Amino acid sequence: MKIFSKLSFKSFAVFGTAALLASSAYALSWYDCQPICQQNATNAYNQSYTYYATQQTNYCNSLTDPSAKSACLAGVQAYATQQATNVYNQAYNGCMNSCSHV
Amino acid sequence: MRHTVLAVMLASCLVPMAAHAAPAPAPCDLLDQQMLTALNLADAATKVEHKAIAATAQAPANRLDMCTFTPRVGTGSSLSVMRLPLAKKVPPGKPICTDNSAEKFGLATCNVTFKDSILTVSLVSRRAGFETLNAALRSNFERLFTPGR
Repeated sequence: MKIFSKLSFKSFAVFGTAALLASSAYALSWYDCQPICQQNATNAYNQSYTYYATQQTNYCNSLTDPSAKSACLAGVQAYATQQATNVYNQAYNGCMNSCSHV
Repeated sequence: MRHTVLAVMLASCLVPMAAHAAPAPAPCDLLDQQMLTALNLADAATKVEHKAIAATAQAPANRLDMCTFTPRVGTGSSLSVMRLPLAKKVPPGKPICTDNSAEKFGLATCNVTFKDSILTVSLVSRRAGFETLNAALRSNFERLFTPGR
């Protein structure tokens, strides 16, 4: 009984220390990754917004029908914002996923 | 009492099944399975959004209908379809595609006027593999939306 108690305590101590180390490592890596990934995603947002806004404006201006051109140009900002937000989310999630699993 | 509980349990199972069985709303339906398969999005999750567009001096208030396809596993690429309704019919146009690659990701977009709307299909992909997906986007977009095909 005495031996069993000693072993149990030893096992518990080893397991507990390993779990603590593992959880600390995960927390540290998440906090390391988060600002990097946020910055990456912000860069991706800005680059993609410029692309979407420019590309869509060029397309709208190529339309020969005046009302279609006006309607198209009126939607450029909403479209570019929505698309760039999708890119932000994709970049952020992809970065966090690869970063915190290294 | 037991029947009531069973009925509630059955209803709670059937409601999500009915929602799952309902067809994906437009504009998701504008793309076909062949195109989604070519872009590795055959089993993608879809998300539909509507954005209001305020009236301007040149154009009345309008709205954007958007559908985004994202992979259920991983974050490799995504595809979105945007439809902007037009007040009057315009002649169908020729598809126009552009692309732009950044350091870590590639962006590609195809536009066309189609059935009283402007359609824009956009691909976002990791830089690795972007060229293949971009080629698939262009060929499938032309197949689906070139007038007379």
